[in-house]
Amino acid sequence: MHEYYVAKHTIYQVKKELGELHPSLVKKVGLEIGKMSGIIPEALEMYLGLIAPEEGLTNATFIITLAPVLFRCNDCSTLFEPSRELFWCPNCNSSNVTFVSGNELKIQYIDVENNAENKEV
Amino acid sequence: MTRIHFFEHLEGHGAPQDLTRINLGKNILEANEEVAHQVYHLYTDRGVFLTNVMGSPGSGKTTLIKALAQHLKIAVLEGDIASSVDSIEFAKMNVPVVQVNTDIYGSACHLEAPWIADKLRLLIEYKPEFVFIENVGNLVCPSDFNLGEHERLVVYSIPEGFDKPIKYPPMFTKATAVVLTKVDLAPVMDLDVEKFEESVRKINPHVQIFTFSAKDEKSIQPIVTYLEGKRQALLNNRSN
Ligand SMILES: Nc1nc2c(ncn2[C@@H]2O[C@H](COP(=O)(O)OP(=O)(O)O)[C@@H](O)[C@H]2O)c(=O)[nH]1
Ligand SMILES: [Mg+2]
Ligand SMILES: [Zn+2]
Repeated sequence: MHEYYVAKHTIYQVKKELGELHPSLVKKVGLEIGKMSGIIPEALEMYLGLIAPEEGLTNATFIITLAPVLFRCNDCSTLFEPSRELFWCPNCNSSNVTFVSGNELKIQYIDVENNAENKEV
Repeated sequence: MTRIHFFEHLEGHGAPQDLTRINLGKNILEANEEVAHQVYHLYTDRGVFLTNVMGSPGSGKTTLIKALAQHLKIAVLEGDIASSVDSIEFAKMNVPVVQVNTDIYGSACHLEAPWIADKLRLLIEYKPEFVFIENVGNLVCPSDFNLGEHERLVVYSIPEGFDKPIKYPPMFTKATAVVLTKVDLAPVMDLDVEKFEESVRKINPHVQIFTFSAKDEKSIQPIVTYLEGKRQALLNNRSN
């Protein structure tokens, strides 16, 4: 439900990083979304598609990469990706496990066109 | 058009010749985080313990905070999509309260730090020892938005069933405490309290779990003691 707000924040943050550069120069934006962030990627995609052109990012493609959910076993240190129902260690069956990552909401990179001054605007 | 790539590794191979890559690795919600950090430091400096109370609509957030108000010196920030029903309750109890309605922010299903920072600064002037933020009733959206809190308290009620922590893990992985409320309804609802605790611990082994019933005045005491201890630790850390 809050994908709209995350899309807004994404565009705001991208434009802030651009500084003086025109938003239309942005070709590609790499996002990393944790599978446990609570974000539905398709919904984020939809809102980015709506908001980006309105905010001047008329040439941008957003590449959304899903980051896995990782747990670590406290008994044998195995790092593993749990299935929906099984939160125990696949190596030693311990249920003494700790959440490591999977909450990411990140902008990894922005690809901007060079030689803007040579181009007709 | 936006594109979406599932289960891919991050593209680490740089940009084509005609493009310049700005490598960031930054939080999308950085603007929110910056304000949240200011709030966190202000509250820490002033020795006021800030708790973000989250949970589904009707789970019992207001009821729990009202019970805490009987034992702690508190102020409250009420977040709702619309209306001031809950804040009127606190005003009647002489608890300092401010209302934030998210209908001016597109009826948001959560609170963001910049929307409430000024009001949190104001509440400190009433010299509370604890401030409780009652977040918008929702078990998913509020969890991504840090508000500068010391404590993330999830209120979860018996009628919601024991499998939700695994179905909605983000809220539970980030919680520092979970209060299972309406335990007076456990016999009626057939919910196994132990099974619930087990499912929460699977995704967050270190979380504090409490049970509470509005029908049992004594059941608030362990939560009061826990929060007092947390605030004392905050004061101790500050003077070191
Ligand atoms: N039986 C029972 N009802 C409760 C308890 N706590 C809250 N309620 C009821 O649940 C409803 C919603 O509670 P409220 O605190 O307003 O939920 P909120 O929407 O999360 O703030 C109200 O009718 C409360 O009286 C409890 O411990 N036991
Ligand atoms: Mg309420
Ligand atoms: Zn193991």
